[in-house]
Order: sequence, then structure tokens, then C-alpha cells
Amino acid sequence: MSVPESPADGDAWDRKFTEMVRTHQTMIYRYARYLVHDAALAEELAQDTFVTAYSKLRRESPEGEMGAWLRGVVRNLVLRARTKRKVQVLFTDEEGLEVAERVWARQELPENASADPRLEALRRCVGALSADDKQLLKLRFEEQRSREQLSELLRLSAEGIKTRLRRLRAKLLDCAKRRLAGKEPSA
Amino acid sequence: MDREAILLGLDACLDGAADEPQREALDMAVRSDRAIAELCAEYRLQDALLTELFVGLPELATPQWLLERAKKRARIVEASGESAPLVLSTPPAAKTAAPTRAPTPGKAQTRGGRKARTRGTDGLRPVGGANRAWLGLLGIAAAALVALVIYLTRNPEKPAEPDVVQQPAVETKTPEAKTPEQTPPPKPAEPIVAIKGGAYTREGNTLTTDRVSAIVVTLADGSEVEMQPLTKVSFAVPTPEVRQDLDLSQGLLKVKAAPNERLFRVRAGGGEITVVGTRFVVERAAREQLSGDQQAPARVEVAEGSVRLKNEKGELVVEREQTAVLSAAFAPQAAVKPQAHDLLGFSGKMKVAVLHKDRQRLLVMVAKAEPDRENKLERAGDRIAHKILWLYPAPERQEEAHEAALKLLEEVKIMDDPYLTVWSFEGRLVFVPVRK
Repeated sequence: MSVPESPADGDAWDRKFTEMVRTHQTMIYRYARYLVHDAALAEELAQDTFVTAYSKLRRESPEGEMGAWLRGVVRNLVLRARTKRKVQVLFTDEEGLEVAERVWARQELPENASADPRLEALRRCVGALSADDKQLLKLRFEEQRSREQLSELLRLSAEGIKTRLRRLRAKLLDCAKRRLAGKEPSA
Repeated sequence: MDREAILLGLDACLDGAADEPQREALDMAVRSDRAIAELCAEYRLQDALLTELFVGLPELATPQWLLERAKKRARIVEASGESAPLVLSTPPAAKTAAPTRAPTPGKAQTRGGRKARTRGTDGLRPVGGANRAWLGLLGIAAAALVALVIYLTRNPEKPAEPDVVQQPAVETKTPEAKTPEQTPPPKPAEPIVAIKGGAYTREGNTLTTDRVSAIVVTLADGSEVEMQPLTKVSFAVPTPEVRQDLDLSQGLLKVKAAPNERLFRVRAGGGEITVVGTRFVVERAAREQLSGDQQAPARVEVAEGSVRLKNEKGELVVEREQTAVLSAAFAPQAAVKPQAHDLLGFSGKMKVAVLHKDRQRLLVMVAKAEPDRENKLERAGDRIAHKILWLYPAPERQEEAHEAALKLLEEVKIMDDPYLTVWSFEGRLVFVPVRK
């Protein structure tokens, strides 16, 4: 990509940039959300990723797929955020983030990943759960209830909630993997 | 490594390794077996997707907003003569990453009482947490509630014609600026003379600000209107009778009106506000956030002088330090300003506020807060600001609503510093964010 110099080039570049945002923004937010366990921080990172990309892409042409390049920017920002602001991130070093990237990249995604097949697989798996399990997920993920609150609400011990959630997650993970692999999920 | 330690590590992973013991447990598990790191990543990814499944995606920044911000940052970097702000292998100097931004007056007004939150690499963000927004709210529950503040300042000494449009700032946008060689004086019929400030969209004479930017609009009569983030205003073409006719769909405004005998009118909340006094505040929700009422009402708070509220059902002159509500559903009504103790409580994850029964009216507001972390309260405040609910419990449902509210309150603890103000009206209640 050559560096645009004339206003006309600048306009073209701006259009290209906004197109890039439209194509990748959802994926980048989702990726950031995956890495940082905090929705607001993930939004910040997603924004900063594109702001960074704007300048950076005027100077260089990334090799390979644009989405992967942008994810690299996210990871770099995660490391910086952790160093500078001591924010809570799950993967604390480059090695950990590489693992995270490997896991992410296992599933081939369309260029415009606003419809993530993993999400659809998970949706179907959740749909097949019992009403009790759905309720538990709703309390945990929609209402963001802590384990202690869940314990009180559902009149189960904290340990019981932990175990139930752990099993539920494992079940969903297995179900989603099978669906993505084109297999029937186990009962 | 034993199974228990692995499970402990995975639990820590799923809890986000929020504290030191969890962090240690996770690190230990990951170090002992890299496969655990992968499993942790798989679970984390699943959790993120589950959250999206249940909560949905937040309202993300618009490409245009990001473009503006990226350009601004690029300009700052160029002006400072520094190299690229971010390089994957070499993080930039902190100075580069924290460019200053001229404070938007609107934001300073609305959030001045709170600690400014560091956002991203340049402290800007179109949310409220999201946060702002979160807006939330922000951005959630999708669209955001927007507030609209209008200050009308009378200055008898000031000439009617604007000596106004100040030297444009870097971001100044004037419709005429594109053809400087033609620069005729603005046509009298055009209500908007100049616009300066942050990002906005324009369709004809309707302006909409983005999630973070405030803009200042200079009007043909010399009045200045400052539109705060997420504000949408249509400026009608002046007529011999009406010099300014603003239609406020949603948002927050400040207006400095030039003195003039002709009418200055703001339409909002199914009625209109005409300038009698000098300064007042109007807040209005986005339509999609309403419950029960088809048209967003507006809260009107008079700081100085007085204003006249009028709709099809009646008129009301609101004097200094009074507040009223303007809605298509009923005649303009004076309101009771609740006291801080009317807000009974907040909990860690859910925010619940109730206007006490003995103050006649009640409204419950519930908003999600951020997980515990630094700036939690600021974030919560921001997020709430974008999740305002305007509820109108029918008289026969108020008792029931009150009981429900009390039930909710069983779980919350009392805090002295509310992040909302609550305004009660006859049978109608409005929550608005605190503006310190």
C-alpha cells in the first residue's frame, strides 16, 4: 500500500479505512473480549486497534490476512494495557497470548466475521439445554451473577454451583466442537 | 500436577484470575501443562461468546468516529515530530500515547464531578462504558439515553448580530469553508452559520453528534448552541415570527441565545419551550428507551429567569429553580426534586434506585455495573447515564411496583452518593444521571 499524499489519495485511504472497520470491527471486539475478561476494556482495545492501524497501515503493508494482522495489534495493546494500567488480563505474556491466538485461529472464519460460526454453534447448543441449565447460564452471563449470588438464589452450595457451571461449560464446549466439526452433538 | 490443582487453575481462568491467589493458581496450572493454557483459552472464548449470546454486542464506535479519532491522533503524532505512535514490537513512549484533548464543555458539565477515566491510548472513547455509552450506554440495551441541556443566556449589551463565530479550532467545520472564494454572508434563511468541534453527521439542517463529541453550532441570529454527545437536533429555517426553532429528538444542548424580540423556541417532549428567562435545562430520552409513552418526554429545569412550557393539553410557566416535565401525554407539570435519601441503594452488580414511597412516586432503575475493578463507580455512573429508563407506572400499578422495588432492595446495600437524580411527577417518574 503506497502512502497517499494528495487529498484525493487521502479520501481513498479514508474510505479504505472505514471499510476495514466495517469488515473487522465485530471480530476485533470479540477477540479483545476474549482476551481481557472486561467488556469496557475490550471496547477500548477494539477502538485503539483501529486508531493504531490507521497510522500503521499508511507506513507498511501487512503480510497475510488483515484480520490476523489486526489481532496482532490487539495483542500488543493488551500487553501494553497490562503494563501501563495493570488491568486484569487473562494471558499475561506473549507466550500466553500466542496460545490464545492459536485457539482462536483454529476455526476458520469468514473475512467478515460478524456472523461467527462458533457463536451459532453455541447458540444451538444452549438451545438444547434443559430449562434449569439455561436459567443458570442466564443468571451467570446475562445478569452477571457471582457464584455466591447464584448459590443464594439457587439454594446450592458455592461448591455445587462451581461444579455445575464447570460441567455445563464442558458440555457446551464439547457440543460446540462437534457441531463445528459437522458431527451430531452427544446427548 | 494433581487434578485438584488443574481444576483450581481452570476455575481461576474462568473467573478471570481476578486476584493474586487465582493468578498464582492459573500460572501454576499453565506452567505445568501447556495444554491447560489451551483449555483455559477455549473456555475463555466460550465464556466471551456466551456473554455475547446473552447480552449481545455493545454498540461499537462508528467507522467515521474512529476515522476522526485516528486522524486526530495522527496529527498529534506528526505535530510532535515523534515516530509512529504504536509499533507492535516497540511500544511507544507514554507521552505519545496520551495526547491531550481539549475538554468538551458538555462533557465537563455532565461528568465534571467524576474522575476522568483513562480510555485507550488517548483517553478518548465514544462510550460510556461504556462505558460510557457504556453508554453505553453509551450502548446497550442498545441505544442510549441522551440528555439535553439548554442554556439560554440573555445579554442586553450584546448586539443582535453575531460577532460570534470565533476563530475556528482545528476541527471547525463550516458549511461555507469549502468555497472560501465565494464567502458571501450567510443567507438569512439558513439557520446554521458555522459548526465547530468534534464529529457529527449532518442531513440538511439536522445535526447528530456521535458518542463522544460535542459541537458548537452558531446560528444565524448569533445564538450559540452546544450539542453534547449523542444529541440530535433539527434547526428549522427561521421565519419572521420565529427566529430559532429547534427540534430536539434526543440529547443534551447548551444554548447561548442572542437577545432578540422574536421567538426562540425549542420543541421537545411533545411540546415546546419558549424563552422567557435566561437559562434552563432540558433532558430527553431516546425514543427507543421509553416505556409506555410513545413520545419521549423532557425534563425542564430552570436555572434563571423562567420558561413557558406548552403542549396541546396546557401551559405552564416554570420559574427559577423549578423543574417540570413536558410530555405529549399530559399537560406540563411541575416536579418535585427528590432528595438523595430517596435513592435507596446500589449493589455491586446491579444498580437499583428507588424513589421512596412516602414521596408519592416511585421508579425502579436497574442497570448492570462493571465487574469490580478500579474506576468501577465512574464506569457505573457512565453506564447508567446511558441506560436511563423512563417509566410511567399506572396509578393502579404503583403499589405493586413499590413492592417489587422493595424486594429488589433486599439485596442491595445503601450508598450515600447516588449516581442518579430522580424526578417525580404526577404519576410519572424520570431518572436522570447526576450532573455535578
